[in-house]
Amino acid sequence: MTRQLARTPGFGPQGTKFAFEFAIDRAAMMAFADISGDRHPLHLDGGYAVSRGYEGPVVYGGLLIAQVSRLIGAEMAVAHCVWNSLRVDFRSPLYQGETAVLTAEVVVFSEAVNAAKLKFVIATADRVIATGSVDVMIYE
Amino acid sequence: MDILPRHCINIPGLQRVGRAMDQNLLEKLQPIFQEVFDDEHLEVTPSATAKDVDGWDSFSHIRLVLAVEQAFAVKFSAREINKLKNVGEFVTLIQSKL
Repeated sequence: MTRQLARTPGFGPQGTKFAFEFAIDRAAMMAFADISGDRHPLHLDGGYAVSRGYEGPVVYGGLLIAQVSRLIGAEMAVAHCVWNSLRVDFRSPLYQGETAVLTAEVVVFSEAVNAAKLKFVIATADRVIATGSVDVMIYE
Repeated sequence: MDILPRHCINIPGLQRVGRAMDQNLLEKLQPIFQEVFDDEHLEVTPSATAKDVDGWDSFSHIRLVLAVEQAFAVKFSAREINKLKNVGEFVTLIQSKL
């Protein structure tokens, strides 16, 4: 499930903000397990996850990073964009089926190298899931 | 390498002030280089070029420029960046914008 919440038309200068909502369902978790080979029960077995003190299957960190890929490849209104660097800190678990919002802001846009640094936050209504930054090269 | 206007270069003491400012700025640049090139022991000198730093390729060059623009709240043009020959010239360029 995805829903676009806000988008600034065109890729603007510093301060341009992006936001979209998403939730990771069981099918996405299974697909990622197949792609990555990571079949740890924390992500796939709700009973196991609860026995370890979690509320349910924990979304793969890789699927959170996939949302950053969506930010770069689909939410930013530029013809071609390639990420150059990614930093992410995972703060708390996101659970399968739980709705989260990714918000991002352009904190640096360099005309000299036609590249930008964005900071992002992934959060639910009551907690921060992940924070980070990504450097992207922009090709119009 | 002078950061002072030409009419100032013969005033005693001012060149030393300029060099001290450059040295101070170079010291502030060191942690940025260390983070961008993922080498906590990296110490760049004014004469250093991309050939002297492991991993200084076109991708890391972009990360370096972004990091410096953010850290010093300055903006460069492509022309300014493209004509830089070494770290010392980069320091001078940054200093000129502060």
